[in-house]
Amino acid sequence: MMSLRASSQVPLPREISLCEPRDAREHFRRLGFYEAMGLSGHPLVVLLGKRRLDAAMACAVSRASHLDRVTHYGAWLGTSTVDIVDPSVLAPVADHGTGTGSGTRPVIDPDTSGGTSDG
Amino acid sequence: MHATTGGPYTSDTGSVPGRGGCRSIDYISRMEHGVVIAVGSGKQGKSCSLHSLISLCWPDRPKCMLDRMEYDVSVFPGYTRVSSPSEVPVGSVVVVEDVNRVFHSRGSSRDATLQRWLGIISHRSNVVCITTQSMADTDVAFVRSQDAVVMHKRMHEEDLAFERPEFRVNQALANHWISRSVGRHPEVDERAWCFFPRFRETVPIPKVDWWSYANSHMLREAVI
Repeated sequence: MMSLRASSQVPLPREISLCEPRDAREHFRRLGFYEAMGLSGHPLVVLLGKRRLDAAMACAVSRASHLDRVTHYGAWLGTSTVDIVDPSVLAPVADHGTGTGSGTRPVIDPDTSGGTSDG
Repeated sequence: MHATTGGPYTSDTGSVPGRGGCRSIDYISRMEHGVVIAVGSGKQGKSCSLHSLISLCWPDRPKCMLDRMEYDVSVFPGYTRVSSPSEVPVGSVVVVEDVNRVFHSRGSSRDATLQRWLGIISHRSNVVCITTQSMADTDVAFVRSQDAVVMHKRMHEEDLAFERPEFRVNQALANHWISRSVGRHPEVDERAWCFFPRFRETVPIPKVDWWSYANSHMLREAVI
């Protein structure tokens, strides 16, 4: 199961791809309860839900073998901590026919975002 | 982390501003001394990306290649070849391809040459750039007490299993984030992507225009 999850090309959400099945069932049951009560968006519910999810993933990581733990850790970091730099940021500028301009970089407008956080 | 400042090679001319730019390229451009390590499995673009990075960050800085084997260095425009650390010019960027050939992974326990050299690269304003197929095959002296920037390429699962534990997590992350970057930008050659864990960035380093088959097979005619 760990290998299948690690090798999967399908972008599964953290709750499904990282937790033990019983932890995931508990997580979604709790979410369903708060949603039925109309409290799913309450800041305290969101905060507690995140803490429980982190604790569940920590348990899953601690139970896994080393390499699985590495994969879990990588997926746990999720999509919010690494920037994928857009190729246009570092694209060489044309130097008016004298060469391809390798080694020179365009000046970036400070108001232009140079990267995209994948999240 | 703080960029090393001062010296003739830390000018901001042509550099991308940190705000809105690329953190890793920005920092590396400002390095006066330190170590850049390109790690990844074979034929994943380590050398091409490393030379492209050097061209991007230090276009006007002297460059040399450190290797005891004889080969034609003319395929690397602007580079000279040196055969020992004592020949490395002051202020230059020095490239060591497949570092385990030149400095054995456990060599510093028997020979202090590497340690003596790395101890003075800050005085001589040298940036040492190395390529290696795994950190397990690399002398840890390169990352001890140095301003070291690790640039990850893809690593096969079999190689990852034998990687040093200290670097295994970042390498697994690199595989993950490079795959994501390839998926997001399919128009970019997948071997252009490099993961810098220190700066939490995957960067598509544009290939230098002079890179060719001869560069990636420079030791084809070398005598062992």
